[in-house]
Amino acid sequence: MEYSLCAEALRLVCPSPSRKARVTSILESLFSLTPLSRRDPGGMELLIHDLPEREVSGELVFDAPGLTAIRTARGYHLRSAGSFLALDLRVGKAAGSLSDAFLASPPEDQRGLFLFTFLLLLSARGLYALHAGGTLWNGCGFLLAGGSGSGKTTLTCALTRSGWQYLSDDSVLLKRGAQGVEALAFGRPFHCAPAMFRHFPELAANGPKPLSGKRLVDVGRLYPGRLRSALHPRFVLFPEIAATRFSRVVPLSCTEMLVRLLGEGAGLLHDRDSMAAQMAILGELARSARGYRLLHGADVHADPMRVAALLQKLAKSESEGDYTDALYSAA
Amino acid sequence: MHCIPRPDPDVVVTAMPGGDMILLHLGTRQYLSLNETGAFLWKLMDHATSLAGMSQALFDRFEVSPQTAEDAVAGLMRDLKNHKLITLPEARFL
Repeated sequence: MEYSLCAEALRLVCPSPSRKARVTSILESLFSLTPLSRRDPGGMELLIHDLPEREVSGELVFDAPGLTAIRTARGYHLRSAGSFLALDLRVGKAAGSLSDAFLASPPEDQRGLFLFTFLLLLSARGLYALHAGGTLWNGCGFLLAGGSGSGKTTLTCALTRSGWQYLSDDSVLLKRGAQGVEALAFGRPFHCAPAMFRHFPELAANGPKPLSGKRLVDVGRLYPGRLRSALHPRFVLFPEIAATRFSRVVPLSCTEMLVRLLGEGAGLLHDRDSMAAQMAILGELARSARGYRLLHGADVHADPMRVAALLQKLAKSESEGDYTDALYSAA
Repeated sequence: MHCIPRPDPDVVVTAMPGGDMILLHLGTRQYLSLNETGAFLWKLMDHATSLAGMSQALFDRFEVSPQTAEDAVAGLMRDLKNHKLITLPEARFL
């Protein structure tokens, strides 16, 4: 079966239909995944089999509960709960076996193996993940970059509900295109913490309730017609919770933006070649987009929808060339 | 002051508008931003300039006192070395 995963072709081979349905379900919870009618011979390949794991030699680069990564001559070898995937980054292929224990585990515990697999396979194709939400208003692309708890999802949700188009609430993929840096949709769902339901009750009624963590809500169903697959970022915002009455944006220099992208937004890869290329694309983003701190205060906390007016004001000012050293307040 | 600092070969340099630079070490993943003055001194390393030569170049270019120039060079070299972004044979001078 052929798919498009984050705009890259993927061939999925599984030993049984039930296993394929399971793997597809996990991938859909993580990535923008759509079926394709024809095969792309240059696409990625995920081959699930029942063969035993071979002895692996390489450098242990990541070892956390639930996921281990070993760098090998061809790429990486990933292990999780008795399962493994051997990645050959040169040909874009991952092959391995999934254990019964892995398949019986909650979806939250299954995602790490596939997330890292495709982060690595996609980076080998020039697509680099950035921890950022993506949204679009009137043709103007915004990225909201920052770590957990910075307000990315709440702000992205408020903007989407206000009529903005939606790319992602948490992660995007950056790639170099003919017109500069492009951000691609990483995954479809909102990652909703229960605290969001107070402002967005419609989220509580959508998506399966997880055993732990955030609820994944399909934005395409909730807000039809708002999904976008790509945007060109004109603004990169770094949301911060502020103890102020009114929200505002504060401009950043290109250098300050790149330092923030490195420190907060981008998960630098372990592979040196990929890291250098990732740095180059982040540098290009910092040079081509405008960076701002987005200090969201009591007004937006009381009514998240107010952020839309603030950012529309920012986009309008920028399009009129009136952005230098300006502070834009929601007041 | 006659030792010659060398950029670590694993450092990637990203030039920014206004003359700033960001240095990223691919091995340690440590990074450091340099302002225009720091970037000026970093570029001198491409020409195998000694610390004394850097101080003199800073003095000539930015019209600072010799002591200020020497302190600025020593301070930057210390930061770069702490971030493992350069190799400095005679670091005892810092």
